[in-house]
Amino acid sequence: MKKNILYTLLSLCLANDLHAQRINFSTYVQDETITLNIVSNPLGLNFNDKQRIIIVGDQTPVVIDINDNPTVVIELDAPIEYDLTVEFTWTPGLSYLGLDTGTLVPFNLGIAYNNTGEFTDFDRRLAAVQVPSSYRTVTLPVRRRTAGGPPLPPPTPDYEGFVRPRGKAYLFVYGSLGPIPSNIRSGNYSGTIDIFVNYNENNF
Amino acid sequence: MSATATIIDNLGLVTMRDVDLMSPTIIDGKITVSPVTSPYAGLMRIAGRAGSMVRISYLSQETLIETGGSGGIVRANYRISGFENDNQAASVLLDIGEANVRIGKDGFYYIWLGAIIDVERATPGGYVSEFIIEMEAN
Repeated sequence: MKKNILYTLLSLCLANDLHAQRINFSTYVQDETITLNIVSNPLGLNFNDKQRIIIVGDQTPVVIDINDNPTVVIELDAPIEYDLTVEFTWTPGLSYLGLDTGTLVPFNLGIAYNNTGEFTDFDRRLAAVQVPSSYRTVTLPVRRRTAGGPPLPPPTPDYEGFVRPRGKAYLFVYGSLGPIPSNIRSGNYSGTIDIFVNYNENNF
Repeated sequence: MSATATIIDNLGLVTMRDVDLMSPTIIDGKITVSPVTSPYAGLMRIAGRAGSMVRISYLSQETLIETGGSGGIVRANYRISGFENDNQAASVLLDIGEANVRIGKDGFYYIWLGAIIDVERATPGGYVSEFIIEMEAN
């Protein structure tokens, strides 16, 4: 065995003919920005826009539906081949002046998305997918891929002069408020809705 | 992004008894109904959230003209008193024109309405008026 190892080492030392190849390469990265733009109701979800007078102790919830004007519409602009992961977090209820007073007005958030590229807001709302109420995270392609057919070709690699195609997807934020507790003081109640959007790296 | 709602108190006002200006005796050309002591005082009840503050405003003076065109004039000065229970004798006179009161533990506040009606320049006929009270939850 010792002999064999010695022989191998010797043969390596004796090699005198080396080959190499130089490869030039560079990277070119296009804009990967994802932008969010609130296109309807930029001030947020205001339940008084649905029902002007909301009274203490009212047992009937105030419901803003996806087709109602007070629904907040957010436009997502991103490279068209991206899958976006959208995460929502929100306070479980609205509190007096946004302060911790121990009493919350129950608040449920509704979320829908559209990635089918309709041209009008009306059509986008009609085609939107409403996310079940227990879900807080959705992953959606910027443009929905057609089911049933062969997969699309892979995205064009970046190169100088190539403009990466971008697309728009839409999020709809709505919800319900109430029943209004009967023991709360009158005034302004508010809560926070946070939306985080990332592109999905599909790492499993 | 925020979710917001402005929620207001539910206030109700019920007139439980009208002020009776027919029964009191006219003395020196005036009908006097004290909101605190007179059995002829009107009674109203505000319903709202227990402990909440309510601002009340009302028209304290009014001139009524005889509806038949006889030129008769009646001047009315209204005064109100209030208390959180239905206890007129315990009620306190409220500020003229505007007052801030607190709804009682039972969710009610009682208001008694009295008036001094000057009928010296009145002629026989009809004099019609409505006492208007406005409320606002603070």
